[in-house]
Amino acid sequence: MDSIVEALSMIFTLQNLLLLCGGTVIGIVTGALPGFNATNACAVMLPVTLAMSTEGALIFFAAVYAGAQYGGSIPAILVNTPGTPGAGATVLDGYPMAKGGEPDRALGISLVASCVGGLLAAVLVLFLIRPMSQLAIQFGPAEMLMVSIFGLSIIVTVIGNDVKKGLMSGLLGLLIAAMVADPATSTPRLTFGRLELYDEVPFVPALIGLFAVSELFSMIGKDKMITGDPSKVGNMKEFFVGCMDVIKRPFLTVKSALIGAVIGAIPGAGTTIATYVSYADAKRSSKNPEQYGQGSPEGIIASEAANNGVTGGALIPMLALGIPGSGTTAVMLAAVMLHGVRPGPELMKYFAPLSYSVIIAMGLASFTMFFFSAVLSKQFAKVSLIPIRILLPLVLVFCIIGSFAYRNALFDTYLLMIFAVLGYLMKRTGYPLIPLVLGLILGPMAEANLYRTLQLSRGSMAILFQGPICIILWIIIVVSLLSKPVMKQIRKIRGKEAGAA
Amino acid sequence: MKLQSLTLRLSVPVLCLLFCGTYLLATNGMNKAILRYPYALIGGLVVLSLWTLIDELRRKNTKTEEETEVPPRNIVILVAATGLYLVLIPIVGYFVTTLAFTAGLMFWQGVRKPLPLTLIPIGFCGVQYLIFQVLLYLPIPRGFLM
Repeated sequence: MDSIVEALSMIFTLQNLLLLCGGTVIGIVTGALPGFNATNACAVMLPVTLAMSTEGALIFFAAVYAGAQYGGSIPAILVNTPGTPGAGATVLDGYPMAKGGEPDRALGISLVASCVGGLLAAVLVLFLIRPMSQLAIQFGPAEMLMVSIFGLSIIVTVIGNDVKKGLMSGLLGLLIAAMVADPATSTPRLTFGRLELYDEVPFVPALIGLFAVSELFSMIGKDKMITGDPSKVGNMKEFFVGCMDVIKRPFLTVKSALIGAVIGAIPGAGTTIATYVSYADAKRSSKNPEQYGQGSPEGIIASEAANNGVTGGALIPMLALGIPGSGTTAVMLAAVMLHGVRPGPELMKYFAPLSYSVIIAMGLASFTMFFFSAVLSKQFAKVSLIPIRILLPLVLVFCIIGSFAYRNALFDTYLLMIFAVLGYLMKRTGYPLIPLVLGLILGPMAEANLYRTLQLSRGSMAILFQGPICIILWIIIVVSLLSKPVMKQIRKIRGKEAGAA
Repeated sequence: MKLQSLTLRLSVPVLCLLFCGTYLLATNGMNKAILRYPYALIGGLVVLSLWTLIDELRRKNTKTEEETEVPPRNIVILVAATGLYLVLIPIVGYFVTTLAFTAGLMFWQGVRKPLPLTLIPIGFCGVQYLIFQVLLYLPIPRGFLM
């Protein structure tokens, strides 16, 4: 309880409240830009947070994350183009409703569902994080090594359709992280004689390059990411009718938020899965399933409440285990590390107020999101009209200067471009980027724990198969690695049987 | 549905193999005890890269769906222009190179009106300088023209 009170006192300072508001607005704006999502936004903003306090940076990121999740629904509703992948299911009913002459109602539904979803998930995580971290605190080096492998394996299997490409991406990330000096003897390995690579492969240029600059490459030559006119909004009466639509359906909203939070807590499951699962569940249990896809308010609620519910859930593995469950939490984790705080089970032990402040900030972002969206909905709608030919050079320069500012080193800007080209090639050819980022982040932790484990066990790997936690983690790893190919095979066999019939 | 070029599809596994090769060459002769972990990773990565390489070579006529198509020439131009910008920025300085780079990229992408072509880069350079240098005390690259 003391930690929560301390977290509240951390948040309720003028500076941090301004960061919360600023982060929300930046999040909504970037979410409303098709092609950009919460991960891109956080990656671009990573260097800016260097000048902030640790809690300030995390509060800022929590607000950007929540804001971007909602912002993605604006172009989804108004012009049939989801701003973020998570808003994909919102298009199904949001756009038909807007096309039917009620764009403000759809925006109102989306906003209140997002706010309630985000708030409920934050409250849930607030209660769950302590028991989760108390379990995690019992982990020794062997268990932590298993946690690293577990994090990587889950992400590899869940993201992307091709397990082989996912594994390659993860291994490449781990190997890049192992370019630096060996942790046991400090002997430089593949550092090319550069001091900049001696300690660590810098996260900032790597993340900005992989997530933000590589995305810019795929926008070259485009005028606008959308067609249509999203600026015909501003009817406040209709907007509040939409808000009431959500309030009239409390059970659906709570259920969708919980689905989002639970799926968000599974590392790598991601927002898209959560929103479609929630949408499908709402349709299945609805009295009017035939209205889904025709502009049903329930469809928008199910998608948006789950979309923002994910933000809270994704904090659980990040804060309790130090495993980022998504691209955005990977960037948040990098921000924690940049401020000298080592993520993992000890985060809740030694920095409990900091952890609680992120969760509370995520909940509070729902209120700031409501306020700014209600006041500035028309302006936010126009954001998606910014021409790419103007946006691209500005964002690119911002990314370059940000990478330079991180360590005052031009070398980092070269790394940024290398990672950007790599990220672009990987995306174009179907390699998921998240395993690579996880490899970069979890790699040093995995290697250090491997050495510690081997020292403790005098070189025997048998320690990894001892103790209930290790065994449970092994089972989860094997199940998660096999589940996707097995399911694929089952579907193939069923498809063949159906075809034969 | 468009054909994805074989060169593009082979790029990632080839890059992975080159990276593994460089790693092996650079660490040749080092104490093997400290290289067990990276070498295990290299082993896995080489196997998967070769596997993917063979797969891709086999299905060179397979059609793959692409969401967007950016001509490779445009990517090369953008990377080359950015490379030039990175080379010039510590020599000439932040303001002149950034103004030229942003205005040049806007022009290249089709912005022709003189007003946005001048005002947007100037405004952006100023705002970025204010954010990084004045508000956040973060460094920006310097050259002989600041």
